[in-house]
Amino acid sequence: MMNKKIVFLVLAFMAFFYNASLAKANAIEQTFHESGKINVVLAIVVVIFIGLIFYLAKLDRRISKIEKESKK
Amino acid sequence: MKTVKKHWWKALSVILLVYTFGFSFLVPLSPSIKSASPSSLKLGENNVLFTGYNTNFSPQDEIHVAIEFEKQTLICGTNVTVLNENQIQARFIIPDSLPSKVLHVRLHTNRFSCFSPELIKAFSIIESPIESAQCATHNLADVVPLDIPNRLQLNETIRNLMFHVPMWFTMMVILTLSFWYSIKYLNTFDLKYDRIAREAVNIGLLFAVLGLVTGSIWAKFTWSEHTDLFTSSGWWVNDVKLNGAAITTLIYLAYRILRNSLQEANQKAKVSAVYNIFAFVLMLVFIMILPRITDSLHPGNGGNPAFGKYDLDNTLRMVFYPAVLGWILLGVWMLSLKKRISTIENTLDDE
Repeated sequence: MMNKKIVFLVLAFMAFFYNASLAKANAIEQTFHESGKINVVLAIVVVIFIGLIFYLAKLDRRISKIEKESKK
Repeated sequence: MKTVKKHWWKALSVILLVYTFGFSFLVPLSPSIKSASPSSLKLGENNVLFTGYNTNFSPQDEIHVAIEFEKQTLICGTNVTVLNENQIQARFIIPDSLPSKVLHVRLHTNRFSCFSPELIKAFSIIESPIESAQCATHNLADVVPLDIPNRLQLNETIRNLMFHVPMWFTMMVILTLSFWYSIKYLNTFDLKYDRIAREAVNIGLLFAVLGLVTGSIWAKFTWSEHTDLFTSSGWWVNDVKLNGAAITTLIYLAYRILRNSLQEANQKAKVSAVYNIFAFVLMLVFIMILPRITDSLHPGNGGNPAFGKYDLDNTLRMVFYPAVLGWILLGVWMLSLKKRISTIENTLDDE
């Protein structure tokens, strides 16, 4: 009896959070459709920027390695 | 003077990219009609509300609307009233005989002219030959304003043309360089060329991944909207060019795995140079040839030549070609840095 109640409560919570997270995802997606979808362009520029930063970070690591070796 | 001679192309890349970003974000979209409601017309009198984008209607504007079919004017709209800067209302009297089921409304002002989305007749009609009407029109102003075309579904995302598409152009150029240096290595067996080929594949992969991710985001909010037209509604649309690009990326990832699985330096270089030549040919097949044979959502595929007059207008050309060149030069710059570092690493290893 007790177990059944707990299972029911857990399921109810899960359903609630699942719905809440869906609503949140929809709200974020909604912002991409507003004002002529300009935020899609923004997202893409940010992705490219992150890609270039990733390249810089890798370059940085290689240069540090060379510095260490040349000091030896 | 020597520095200028050596580095001018890097400065050119920066100038072109600054121009690209400035142009892409500052030039507005051309005025257009987003929606018409009600979207289905009935017999007799109809009051239609048009909602525009970037239209900036004002009460002083002289606005004319007319239903057109195959470039002929059929019915003139009357009582055009400006509600606010993006909305107008007009009245159409629909007769019981019309040449087509689907109609377009053309809107003229003294500043611009554009078409509305389709209006569908909600009644059965007698299909009759065209009787054209004479409505008042405007001669457009001589000075054409600078604007980016506003296309159905794309809207502002047409600006991605200057970011997503050059990623693939850059990848192509970098991978072609890689192919070239692999051949050079097989001719000379000089490990210097093999190092350049390896670094070029790494940079090419970075641009391929950026192209895939940006394309996926773009597709999600444009192609996936019409779920009844396309099989997928998510981040991936089942399209030949998308799948070809993904396979290409996997082929080049396999190049990296192949390199890492071999121990001896000369053997590693030889095997991966041969693989690289095959990979390059496969890439050409997957992203240049196959999408042109079958139908694809990408423009310029399914038999049409790429960059036809329907895909790019003159304003977009003004920024698209500089953007492509700017991104390619940036890619080559990134490659040259990696090449120089690998040369230094090599001399340090030899000591």
